[in-house]
Amino acid sequence: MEQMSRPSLWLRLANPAAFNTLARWLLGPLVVLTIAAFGYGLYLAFAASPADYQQGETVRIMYIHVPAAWLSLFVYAGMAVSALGTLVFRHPMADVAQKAAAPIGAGFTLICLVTGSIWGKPMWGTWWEWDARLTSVLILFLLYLGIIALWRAIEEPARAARAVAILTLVGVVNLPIIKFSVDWWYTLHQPASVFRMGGPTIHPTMLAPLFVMALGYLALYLVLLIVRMKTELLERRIERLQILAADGERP
Amino acid sequence: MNALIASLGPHGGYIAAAFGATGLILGFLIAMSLLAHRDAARRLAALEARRKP
Amino acid sequence: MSFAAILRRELILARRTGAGAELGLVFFLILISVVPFALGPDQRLIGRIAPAILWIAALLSTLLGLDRLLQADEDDGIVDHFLLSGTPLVALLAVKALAHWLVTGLPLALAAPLLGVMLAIEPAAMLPLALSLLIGTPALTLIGLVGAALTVSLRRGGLLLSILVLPLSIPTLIFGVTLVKEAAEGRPFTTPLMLLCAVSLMMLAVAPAGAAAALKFARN
Repeated sequence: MEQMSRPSLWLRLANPAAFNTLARWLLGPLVVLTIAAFGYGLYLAFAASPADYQQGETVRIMYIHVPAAWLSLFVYAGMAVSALGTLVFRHPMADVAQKAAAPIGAGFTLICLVTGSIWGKPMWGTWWEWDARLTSVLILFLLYLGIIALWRAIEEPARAARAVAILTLVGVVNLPIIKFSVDWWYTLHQPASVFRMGGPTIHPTMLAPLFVMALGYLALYLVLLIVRMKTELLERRIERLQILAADGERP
Repeated sequence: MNALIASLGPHGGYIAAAFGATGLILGFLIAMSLLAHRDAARRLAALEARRKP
Repeated sequence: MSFAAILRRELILARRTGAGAELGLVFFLILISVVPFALGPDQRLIGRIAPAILWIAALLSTLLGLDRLLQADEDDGIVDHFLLSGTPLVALLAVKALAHWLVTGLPLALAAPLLGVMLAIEPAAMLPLALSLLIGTPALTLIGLVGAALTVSLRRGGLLLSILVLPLSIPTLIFGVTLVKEAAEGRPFTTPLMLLCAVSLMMLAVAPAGAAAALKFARN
């Protein structure tokens, strides 16, 4: 009963007004953090880190490629948590967060694919190599596109949220299997190329820019997530008002 | 700009292209999010203005 | 309604609505006759990619008709009936998946050795090919079942359904084709066989429950 008198932050966040207050508090600092982290990260990536002895200067592509890969998985994990929030707790903001996150995750995955392909050209000699890691990321991208397509196909938002939540969880169950099967498939068809992306030896001076860039991506993700969630709340309010207006016009 | 890319070695163009493409995709995401928010806010304001008077 | 009765009803319906096993077989035959026209009549090239062709044929034929798999039951209120009467919906869905597999996956697996001859596949790989399809196609059907449940409310869900289902089918495809390849090159194929079994069993455990959850969450 005591819990009833002081609702937890989790419960209070179910109220869009409370979310908007929190969002107003967070947005400014997060924007500053995004700009600072990307600025410092770019400085580290270009000025304060050495060229790789094997890959030369192209290793600098790693500083945008690898954090994008991390974030693409992180966003998917966040969507899976929101999916549980939707299905188990019926938390209204979980629906909104799921919907807002999907295009951002797809964007990060696309960055990973595009930079990987550009990195591959000087390293492998082709724009696209069916390398195990890139192929796994490509399948993750397809999963993101499927999720976005399902969002668009089902009109009623609450129903779409529940369908997408199930699809996201099915994807979570399948992702490790896909990852394993693609790695296994790749080792069976071992190509001549020796080079592996983000190889085993990463010099410590390369870790700092990697982590700072990852922090930048993370902060940007949170900023975009908050903005898109606010947009989604506005859209829902518009829909409610339009229904009210239509009811009012009825004779 | 060209000197800057050249200072990145023989593959400078690829590095610039990778960073450029990343900037483009991130810029697109940011622009779309902001535009969608502005658009929704404007439509909501219009709707509420129509309801009030 | 007993589950044997449901199964019989499904099979009769499939036959009467033009989705029976015979038509499925004709579809495979046509797919396989199209391939040499696309590739040229080079026996050795065709033989090398034959397992891939048959597996892709399996994927395509599983996708066919998936969007109609649950729609009639949803429209007729059979799903509601199951939910209200407390009969496990999972069981209905498992039987529906079985019926779908009986008219798509099983005929392909049985006909595979014959079609394999036409595609100049290695004789040593003939039975492993049939085996891989026999064990792997249930996984494809079960993944498709979840997709069908998610898109059941959509009138034109076919395209979306394949976009949802195909990425999830990739592990099954990899294990199945690898099994045939290993057999064709005379190597032991226990590992891909075990992995294929694992995928099918896991889908059997997860997919009907997932599809039932999708149908349940689509109302209320």
